[in-house]
Amino acid sequence: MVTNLIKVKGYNQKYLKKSFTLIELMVVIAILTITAGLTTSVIVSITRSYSKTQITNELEQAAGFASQKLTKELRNAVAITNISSTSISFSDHTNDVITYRVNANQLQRRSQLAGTAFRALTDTNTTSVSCPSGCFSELNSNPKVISIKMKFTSAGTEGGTAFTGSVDINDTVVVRGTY
Amino acid sequence: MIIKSFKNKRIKHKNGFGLIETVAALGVTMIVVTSMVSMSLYALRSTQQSQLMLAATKLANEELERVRAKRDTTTWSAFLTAVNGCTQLSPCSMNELNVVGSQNTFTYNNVDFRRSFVASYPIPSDTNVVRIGVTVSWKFGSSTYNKSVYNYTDLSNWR
Repeated sequence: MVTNLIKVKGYNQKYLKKSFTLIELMVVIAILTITAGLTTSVIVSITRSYSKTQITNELEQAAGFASQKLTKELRNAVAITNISSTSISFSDHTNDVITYRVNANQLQRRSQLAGTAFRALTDTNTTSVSCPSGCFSELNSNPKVISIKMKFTSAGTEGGTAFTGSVDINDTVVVRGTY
Repeated sequence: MIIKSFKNKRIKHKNGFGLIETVAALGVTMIVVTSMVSMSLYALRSTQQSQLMLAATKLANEELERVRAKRDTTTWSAFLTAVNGCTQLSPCSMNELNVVGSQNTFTYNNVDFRRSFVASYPIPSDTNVVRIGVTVSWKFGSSTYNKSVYNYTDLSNWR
């Protein structure tokens, strides 16, 4: 009833007759285009740095977990059996010999008692570990003080642009069993 | 009643939408879009800040471990001598196992960090306990070193 009335009275006709001129429409489109362009570029850059931050955050968590496990075990060790720039072996109270090594861009751990093979401590698909200035070194011999320096990197390709997040681990551990 | 109101409306809008109305609508759209962008910018910034805080906490703990290693590799009296001058006015930092009488400035993930520690006696009459307080501050964007993380540990003469 109501819609009929509008149509009968020629509302649509009038609307069509006297609406935008071409100039008006172009002005509006121009303003809209500028706004949309600015907004899009801002949103794209926000998304990019957001995912970058998130990747670094996850990497920080993963690196923190791996280094905490290593430092905790190393601190409670009884003796260091072997140390090189990319690997360290130590014995603990249960006569187990635990080895950590950086091999094939991964931080790997092996327990001799458990008889298992080397197993990576972080996600092998996303995270890689390197030793830019030697991973393990001895700072002091009595008691043994071990310096651990590792670089965890994670590559991402969010938003079409490749970037790399990296986290440095720089731990100093006093081996309690060697006091 | 209904018919009347529609009639009035029709008469008012004889000329369709004008440019002014369109610009007003655009203005509203822009305000909405701008607020959404600034909201997501704020969210991003706080995520970055929390990530930096996580990194700073890790850096502070690293420093505490170094000071602990320093205590364990020397005698207690030598340790006290080494950290003696580390006060609020002249904080120290660690370089491997050596105490340096200045703060440590470095770049980590493109952010400028400062790290230093102070030593004090938490129990004034007891020189067998030393409190090591580490402060890590950082510069984000164009700001000064206005964000910081503080962590402390009490080291005792246990041997």
